[in-house]
Amino acid sequence: MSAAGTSRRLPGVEGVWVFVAADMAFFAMLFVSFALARRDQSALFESGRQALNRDLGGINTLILLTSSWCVAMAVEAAQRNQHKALQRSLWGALLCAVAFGISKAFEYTHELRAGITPLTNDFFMYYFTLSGIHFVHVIAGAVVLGVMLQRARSGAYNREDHRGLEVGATYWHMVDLLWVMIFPLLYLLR
Amino acid sequence: MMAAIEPPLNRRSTRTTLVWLLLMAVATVSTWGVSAGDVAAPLAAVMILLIAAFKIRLVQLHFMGLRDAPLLPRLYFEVWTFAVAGAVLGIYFSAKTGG
Amino acid sequence: MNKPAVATDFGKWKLMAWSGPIFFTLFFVMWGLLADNFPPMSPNLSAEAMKAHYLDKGLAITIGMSVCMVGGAFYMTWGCAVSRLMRRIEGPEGMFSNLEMMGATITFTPIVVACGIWLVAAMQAAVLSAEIIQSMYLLGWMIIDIAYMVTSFQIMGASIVFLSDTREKKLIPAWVSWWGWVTIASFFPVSLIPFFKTGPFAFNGLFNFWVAFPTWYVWIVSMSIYVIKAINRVEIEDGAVAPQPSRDPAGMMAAAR
Repeated sequence: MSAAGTSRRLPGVEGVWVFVAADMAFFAMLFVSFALARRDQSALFESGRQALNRDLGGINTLILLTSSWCVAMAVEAAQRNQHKALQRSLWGALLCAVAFGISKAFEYTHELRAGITPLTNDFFMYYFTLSGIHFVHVIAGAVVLGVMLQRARSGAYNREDHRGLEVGATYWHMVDLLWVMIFPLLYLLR
Repeated sequence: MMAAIEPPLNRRSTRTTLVWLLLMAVATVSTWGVSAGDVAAPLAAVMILLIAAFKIRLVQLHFMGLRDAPLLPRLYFEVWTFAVAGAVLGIYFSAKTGG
Repeated sequence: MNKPAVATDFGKWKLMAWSGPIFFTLFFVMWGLLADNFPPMSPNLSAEAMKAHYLDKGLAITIGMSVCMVGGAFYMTWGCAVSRLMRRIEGPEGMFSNLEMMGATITFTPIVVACGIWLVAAMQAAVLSAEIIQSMYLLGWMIIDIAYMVTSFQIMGASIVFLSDTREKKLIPAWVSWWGWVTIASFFPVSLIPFFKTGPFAFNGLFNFWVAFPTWYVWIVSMSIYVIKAINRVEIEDGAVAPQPSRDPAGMMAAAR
């Protein structure tokens, strides 16, 4: 194994890295176009930013970081053949994903009730688009986590074979790190 | 003791947990400290984006396993992080100076 | 494997696999270059400017769109060739090869309808009001773009089956299937085109045009190339021709290890 640093390898299969690399390149383009739009309408973007709930966004960051940690611990548990710890970690990650979903749904509902929609102005167009596309990734990731938990319960992962787990973990870490950039862009940058 | 049987993996899990604690601390400082309003906007922008890049790098290296990855993919993701943070900051400051 | 009772006609199969490259070449030249869709006219333009565009480029658009209405059908024939290869992996009872064939066939529908609408806009530009030309232009875009889910299902079926190939060296390299997932992901933001007239999510925008379409094109091109190669391999597996000393065409990804 690579734990001792003896060999250099990518976790999972190469294909998932193709996906992650391309998906992140798409997001990079979105981040840059957001920054450009923000530069052209900085006053409007600042007032839009102030209307967002920074506390909820910040809590969501902590939730996703924690779920990412749970998934990393799950992979390490599988490498040690610790099946109980593996399932516990995946449960933790899944609960975090659900918590993120509830909090985001609450946030969207609150904004839509206040009459804020993607058509309000360019800031909210970007806000709903960036966070919405990310949210779709979270939903897909929650499904992946659920499948991995199901497979872990049936004993599919062990020291020798946990490639599927690594594939899902790689995707989920990407969902986490994208939010780590989306959150400051939308909620923090003054 | 487990540690005697498999020291590298256990040490790795300890490291993973330490990285998580660091991420949580840094995220808290960035969200409720730096951006709260006491720091001047341009300085806060630099700090917020550098912290974001730092956090992304921690996730990439320690959670995703890029620390032990071949050079090419590692390079791609490192470049991604700094290109995104750099581009956002560059555009941010081009507004302040140029127009 | 499920060796058919009647010998497979590899010649016809390969011929149909070549309709993939025909489709994307035809579309690139006729729709993109001739009909002046690189870049597409912005949805933000005034109705008068759109009418002027159709008056100006009338003949080129008429030829381009009518050829595309014919040539779009090559996507269907190509889909049949891909579907047959999938059946070699998932067996005759597999569902995804059907999904692939239906997806490829129905993908032709929004193409032919949208191109038909743009064709009539070009033919009738002189007699129609500017607002009607503008509506026809937007109508074509909404139909051709927001029908993406049919194509997503097609790509999804292919990606799942080719990834589940248990051969030592898969018939279609894994990265092509994973690029399929990238394509599916890149299609979803296309749902935003009714709400944007400018920026990356307008139908002529950075993301929804310059990312989503090239991503799909890369998938079609790479899938075409490897399907044609794979048919040759299946032919060898069936013992229809003697094995040739093989080169490794997918060495690129392996080199990254």
